[in-house]
Amino acid sequence: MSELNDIWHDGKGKLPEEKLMAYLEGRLSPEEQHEVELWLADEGMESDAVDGLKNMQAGEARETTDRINHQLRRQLRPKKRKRRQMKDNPWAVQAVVVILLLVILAYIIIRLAMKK
Amino acid sequence: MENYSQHSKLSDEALLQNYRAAKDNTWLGYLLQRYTMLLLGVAMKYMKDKEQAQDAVQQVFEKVLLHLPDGEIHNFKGWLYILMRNHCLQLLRDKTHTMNDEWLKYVPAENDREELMLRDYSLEQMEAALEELNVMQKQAIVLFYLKKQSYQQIMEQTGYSFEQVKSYIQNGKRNLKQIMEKKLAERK
Repeated sequence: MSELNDIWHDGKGKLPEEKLMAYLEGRLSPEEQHEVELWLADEGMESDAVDGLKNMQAGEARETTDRINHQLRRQLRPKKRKRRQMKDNPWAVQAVVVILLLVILAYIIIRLAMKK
Repeated sequence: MENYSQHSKLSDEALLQNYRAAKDNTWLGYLLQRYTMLLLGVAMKYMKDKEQAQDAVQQVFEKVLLHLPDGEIHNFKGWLYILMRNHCLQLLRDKTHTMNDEWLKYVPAENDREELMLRDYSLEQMEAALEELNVMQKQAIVLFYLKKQSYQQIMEQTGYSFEQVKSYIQNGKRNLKQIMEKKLAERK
């Protein structure tokens, strides 16, 4: 009856997501099922989660989890820096105006020189 | 974001520490993604609706990202579980807009994981305590812990439902602990 000592040991470490999914989809051997169920023997996160996930169709839990994770990653992705608007930079506007004036002036000078 | 697998070997505590050191929510993101499926299951249990459960998980993520307490969190998983559960209960309470306590039925019994001095007990004492359980709980405990049977096998053998097996094991274990604590107190 020494196995009775196991009663005070919960599931070891973390319950891997893949194992949980395989359990819910009935893809585990009885020994593996027992291993997962050691996490369920106490009231806690895993126990509640299995109760809830059993009400979802196979694959639905995975899809929803992926969707939530995708949304979270998108939320955490560093925002791209907005390109600075030219109107916010008076020096750039002045430089463009000066360059345009120089181009026009050069055009006029060339035209005048060609007429002579 | 860097490859998630690079961080999968870090403990929850290490990820939290990195987050606090770098003040970078990315670390918190890695940590939260470890528990998404479990949180979804917890939310499903209380909300009974896929869309609402998904929303509830996202709202809890938002809460954690914006309002993670500055103080040390010794057991992140346990803390997150309580946060998720309380959030769902709050949503249910808001939804009903009533003053009745019907939502309280969703509150599971307190999870008592504290280490007890149970190893002081001899196997004979444990066997004696086992005899004090009711027939269903004793049967479920013996089949699960002694015979190492799965819930499915216990269901086939006893005719109990999944929920009954789970409940008999959980309640049996809790009662066994109480019986032994009582005996320990008497011994002292």
